Amino acid sequence: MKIIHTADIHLDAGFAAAGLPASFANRRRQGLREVFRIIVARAGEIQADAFLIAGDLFDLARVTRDTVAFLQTQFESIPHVPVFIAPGNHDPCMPGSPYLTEPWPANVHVFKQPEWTSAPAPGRRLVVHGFAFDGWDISRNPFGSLAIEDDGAAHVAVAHGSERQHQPPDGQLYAPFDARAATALRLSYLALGHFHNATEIPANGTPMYYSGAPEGHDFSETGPHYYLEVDLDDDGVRVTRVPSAQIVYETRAIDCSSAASSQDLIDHLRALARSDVKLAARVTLCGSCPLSLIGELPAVKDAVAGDFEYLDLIDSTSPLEDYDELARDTTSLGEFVCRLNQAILDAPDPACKAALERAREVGLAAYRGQRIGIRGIELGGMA
Amino acid sequence: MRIRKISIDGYGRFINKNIEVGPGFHVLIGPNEQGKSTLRCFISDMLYGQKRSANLRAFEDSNELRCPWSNPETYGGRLVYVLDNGREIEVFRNFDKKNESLHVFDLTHACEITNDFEPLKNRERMFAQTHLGISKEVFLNTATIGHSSLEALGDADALDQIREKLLALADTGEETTSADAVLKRLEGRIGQIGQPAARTRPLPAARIRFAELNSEYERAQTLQQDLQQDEARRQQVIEEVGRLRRDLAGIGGELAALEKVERAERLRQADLLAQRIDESTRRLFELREAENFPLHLCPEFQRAELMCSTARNQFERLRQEYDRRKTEIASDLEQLAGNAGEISEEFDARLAAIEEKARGLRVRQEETQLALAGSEQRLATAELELQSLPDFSRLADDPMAWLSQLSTSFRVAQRHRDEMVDRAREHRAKVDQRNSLISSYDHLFAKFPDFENAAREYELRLRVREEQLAQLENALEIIQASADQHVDQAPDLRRLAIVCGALVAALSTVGYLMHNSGVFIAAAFALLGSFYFLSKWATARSRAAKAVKQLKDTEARIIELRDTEDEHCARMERRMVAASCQTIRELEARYDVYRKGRMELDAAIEAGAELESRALDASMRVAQMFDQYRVKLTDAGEPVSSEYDIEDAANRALGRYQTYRDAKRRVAENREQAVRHRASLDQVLAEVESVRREDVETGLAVRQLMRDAGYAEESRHDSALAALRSYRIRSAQSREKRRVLQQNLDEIAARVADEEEELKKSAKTIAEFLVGAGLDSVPQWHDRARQAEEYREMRRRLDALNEQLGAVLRGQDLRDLRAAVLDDGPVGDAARSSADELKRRRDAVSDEIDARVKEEHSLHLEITHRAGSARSLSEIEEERAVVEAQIRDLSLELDAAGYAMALIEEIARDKHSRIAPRLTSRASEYLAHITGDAYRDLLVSREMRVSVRIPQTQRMNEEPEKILSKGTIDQVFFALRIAMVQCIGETGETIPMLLDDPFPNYDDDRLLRAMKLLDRVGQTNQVLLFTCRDDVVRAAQTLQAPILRL
Repeated sequence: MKIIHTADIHLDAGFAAAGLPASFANRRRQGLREVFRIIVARAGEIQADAFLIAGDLFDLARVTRDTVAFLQTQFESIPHVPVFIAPGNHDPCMPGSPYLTEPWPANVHVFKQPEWTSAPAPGRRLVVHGFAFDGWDISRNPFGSLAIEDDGAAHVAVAHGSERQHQPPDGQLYAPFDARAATALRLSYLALGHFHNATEIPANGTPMYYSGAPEGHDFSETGPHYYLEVDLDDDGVRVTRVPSAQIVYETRAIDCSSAASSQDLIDHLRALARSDVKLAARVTLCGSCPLSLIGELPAVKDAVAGDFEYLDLIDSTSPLEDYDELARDTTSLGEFVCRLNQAILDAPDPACKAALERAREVGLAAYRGQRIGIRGIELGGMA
Repeated sequence: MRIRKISIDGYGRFINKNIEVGPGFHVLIGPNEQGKSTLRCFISDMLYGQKRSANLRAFEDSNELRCPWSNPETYGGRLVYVLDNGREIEVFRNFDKKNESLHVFDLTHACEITNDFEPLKNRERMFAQTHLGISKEVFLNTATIGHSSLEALGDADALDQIREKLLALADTGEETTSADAVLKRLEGRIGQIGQPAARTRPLPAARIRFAELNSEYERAQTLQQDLQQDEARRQQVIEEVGRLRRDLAGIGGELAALEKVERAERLRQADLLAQRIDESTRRLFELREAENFPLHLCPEFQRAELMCSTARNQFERLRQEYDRRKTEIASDLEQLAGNAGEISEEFDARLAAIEEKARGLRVRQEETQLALAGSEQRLATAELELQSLPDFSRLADDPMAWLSQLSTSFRVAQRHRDEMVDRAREHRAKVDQRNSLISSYDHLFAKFPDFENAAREYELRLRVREEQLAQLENALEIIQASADQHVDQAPDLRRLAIVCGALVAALSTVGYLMHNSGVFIAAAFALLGSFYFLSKWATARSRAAKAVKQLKDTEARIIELRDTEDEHCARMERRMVAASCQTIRELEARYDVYRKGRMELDAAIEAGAELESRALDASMRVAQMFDQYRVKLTDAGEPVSSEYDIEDAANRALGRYQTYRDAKRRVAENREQAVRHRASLDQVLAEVESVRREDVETGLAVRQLMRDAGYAEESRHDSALAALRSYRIRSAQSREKRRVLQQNLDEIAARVADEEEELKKSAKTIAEFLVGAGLDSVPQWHDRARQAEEYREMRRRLDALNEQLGAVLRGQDLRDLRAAVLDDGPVGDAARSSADELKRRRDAVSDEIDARVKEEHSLHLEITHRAGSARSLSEIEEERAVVEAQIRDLSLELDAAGYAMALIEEIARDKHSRIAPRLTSRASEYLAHITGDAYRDLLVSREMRVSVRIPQTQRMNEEPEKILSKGTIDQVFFALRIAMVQCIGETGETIPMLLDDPFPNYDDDRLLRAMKLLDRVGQTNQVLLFTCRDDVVRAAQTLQAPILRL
């Protein structure tokens, strides 16, 4: 039996929290649809016995009628592939949800109850169990109530939840469970969703996998992303990770201290780009470099823009100045630097310190008649 | 700190060059291109290195320029300098990029101290900055004074440029960037970012955009909530449609039950109807005979019957009426035959014409009498008015022209007189004004007839005095120097003499003890030496005393010269003060003005006398004309009391003349009119009499004719015409009456004949109807008609019953209906609602379903349309996040620039406040020294504005560059630079000054003074003056300053 497993697509999600501009965000939203379309096409191509979507297919707070129509069309295009959806914390099955208000094709089964229910895959000896989030949060462990019949069919489950051992340290638990508790359920496969990185949950017995998001959503989800193709037969379960992301998010830091000119910087940036996949890169420039180089950053960004799907350059460089030496000057300039040096040392918080450091750079440039760019007009700001 | 030794291994043109300099003032001379600037650069490079910045190891461009022309590996050298505390430091450097090295040694303590100084990123050590306390930029721009820095001063706004340079030096150590310039740049930066009022700038624009995005977000959220509500409503409508469809199905069931009941009822009704149909059929058979009776002719028969009866009655009545009228008409005709006799209508016309004519003549008579009375009245009024006016015919042939001319000529004479008087007055005022202007200079120049020569004399005396003073001061300085020298030498000579004396004693003692004659020889030499030093000492003392005496004499002469006041010059200077002139040239200019003014005044006085004479003539002429015209106007009835009344009196006389002329004209006209009206009245009276006679004759004839015709009533009318008209009316009335009576009779006869004819016709018609129906009489007709009616009614009833039966059966056979009812079986309880009600409910539910479906569809469209009309929340959030980040960055930039501005302003203000007083005091002293007290006071304000006291006015002038020469401006700047260097070095190590030919515009006198100043400054700061000029060298020699040749 062949099963396609994916989750956490988050169609129509917003990108504001990641600080990404609307133009890029619109392209990514369209890109996520394209990724999902490719997965659906693959399910149709291999005549999958089940297409499992383990939650967060879309963001309920943002989903549009157009996206719902898109999903209906996609599912209609694979009429012989049974689709099983277990709504998650971002697309819960609650009043107003398209899962309840819109008609879905006959091959789509949405688990609508917060308790375990089961549905057979038509024409196959396969039963799929699942439950739905009926609100934005489930804090109880749902796995205790799942019961599997011994009817000779293959039983798989699809669910959205947090496996306690693999929970990120700062994350919140949603439908938490223990892997050990799940293994006792005699399931052939447990398709999980919620964590955005593809993860195998090691357990004796039931194979459990988080497919992860098929494409990253911001710079905290860097690296490649996948969907899973699962082969179930008498010999066991084989899970194949299939790369699915159209773009990959990356973060880098470049030390500009050794850069002699803007060309060095351009070469560094071009070295980051990849030919196999488009990158969305956030590059932080650090180290000490002359102001003339910082003034060239807009031109640098324009020069390499074509090599990236999106490039964010953050200036965290410090100018090549010996402020202590300058502070010893007997002129007004020296006194200016001296007083600011002290103020910076005494700054009560990082924000105040950043403002004072910038005041020092700006004042010094004004004394020398040098031009330095204005952050917020010519370049991205401090990280 | 001072430079002690310069050792160049290789630097520019120099190879193995060593120069030693001591403290104080030194002159280094060399022609152009001999390396003076190179040497200065070597000193600064040795102290601070050649790196571009503290963080970059890259060399400045000067590294290549200064590379030795041969043996570049020797690029470098040594520099020894001494700090104020006596510590001696030696610096070794190699500037070659491949062999770069730096070593600093403390020669006093004989140790290397290179590592005592913190290494910078550019591999330099900050020993110079630590020792001097100033950075390389400050050192280069402050301690190094080149001629280029002074040459850049132009003539215009020179002191402003000085101010800018001082500010820049104080603020940044450079000559070109002051705190003001920095603040302007920061202000520009803030302007670029955007103050709150500048809505198009990035920060305010971003804030506005952020507010707009917030509003858009709220609207989008509201829209989303609305859409959710609409969607919920749509779902609700869908549910309602489902419920309504279920209701519709229920209503259908009820209707089916109702139909069963209805079928049974129909069967019952059908049976009843069938029975009634049978009964109707039987009665029809009984009335079959009346089936074909022409019932449709009954109305006509009745009409014919009625007409016949009516015609009969009418015929009888008309025949009786005819008989009665015939009798009445016969008697009336008899009565009217008596009236006859016609009168001709010509008499009517004649009488009417006569009456009309008489009326017209009466109207004419009245009008003519009224016109005559009016003309006589107007004539009397005009004659009265003429008598009250003067007789103008005696004044002149043409009184109007005469009066106009009188007024005009007098007016012209008056105007001329007034004009002359005004001109004379104005001229007097001008003369007075000029006189007052000139008189202010009288006290200066009135008693000074030969002022020009006196001014020249003044200048000459002043110049001579100044030269004498300068010479004496020069001599004083030379004597002073000589006295100092001798005074300095005396103690040394004395010491030497004493030493020699002691040596003599010692050697003598030793020789005596050792019995060595050689020692005595040495003692003799020592004794000789002692005598020599003693004599030198005595000489030095006597020379010193002589020099002191000479000094006193010279000072006394200087004081005497200063105190001696040249009376002539003092007088001239008093006049200059009185005239508020600062220079003699100004006073001369004032004198020129005075002289010219005096000439113009005399000419004006002469012209004024002429004007007075002409004014007097004009006044006399006016008086004469007034006396003459007053008499004439009194004759014309207009007395005059003053000359200003002449014109008005003439105008009034003119008016009075016009009135006189009008009155005469009116008298003539009215007299002529009265004569004409009288003639007309006579004529009218004659015609009236003629018409009256004709009327009487014609009236008598007509009355006679009427009496003859039997109209006796003519006597009742006053007028024959009225009597004739009355007669005509009566005749016409009689004739009309006869005609009407005859007409009535004829009409009645015709009607009788018509009625008889009508009667016959009606009887014939009735007979025809009876024959057609096969009847004999009218009663038979009526009976048969009643039967036919009943038959028809029965037929109609039968048809109606059949129709009802058809409606009940509804196309169904009675047998089939009976069979269907049997099939239905027993009927249940009656439905709660009737069929109509159920159908109404069914229709209402269907309508409701349609409405709900329509509502759901419109909601669907509305949701789709509204969802597509706004941007998504995600998009708005994303743009808002970007704008928020931009605002954060720009706010940081704005805060940073604002903080930097405030701090720089505060620092500059404090620094300037501290420096200004010190600069003032030192620069004033130096300026006085350079200019020989010509300019003693120089003020530097807190804003670093420079002003100089002008000796002629003793006032501080903030724009002295408009008065001072370029050379003096140079000297002002030089004094300030020297003062600035000393101020900067006050709080730390003294700074050596490296001067590169800074005296391009100095004359010999001031050059010497400047050199003396440098010599004096050299006592505190080492001064190295690089020059190529021989006059500078000569001045240095005069001062006995060390001179080094490159």
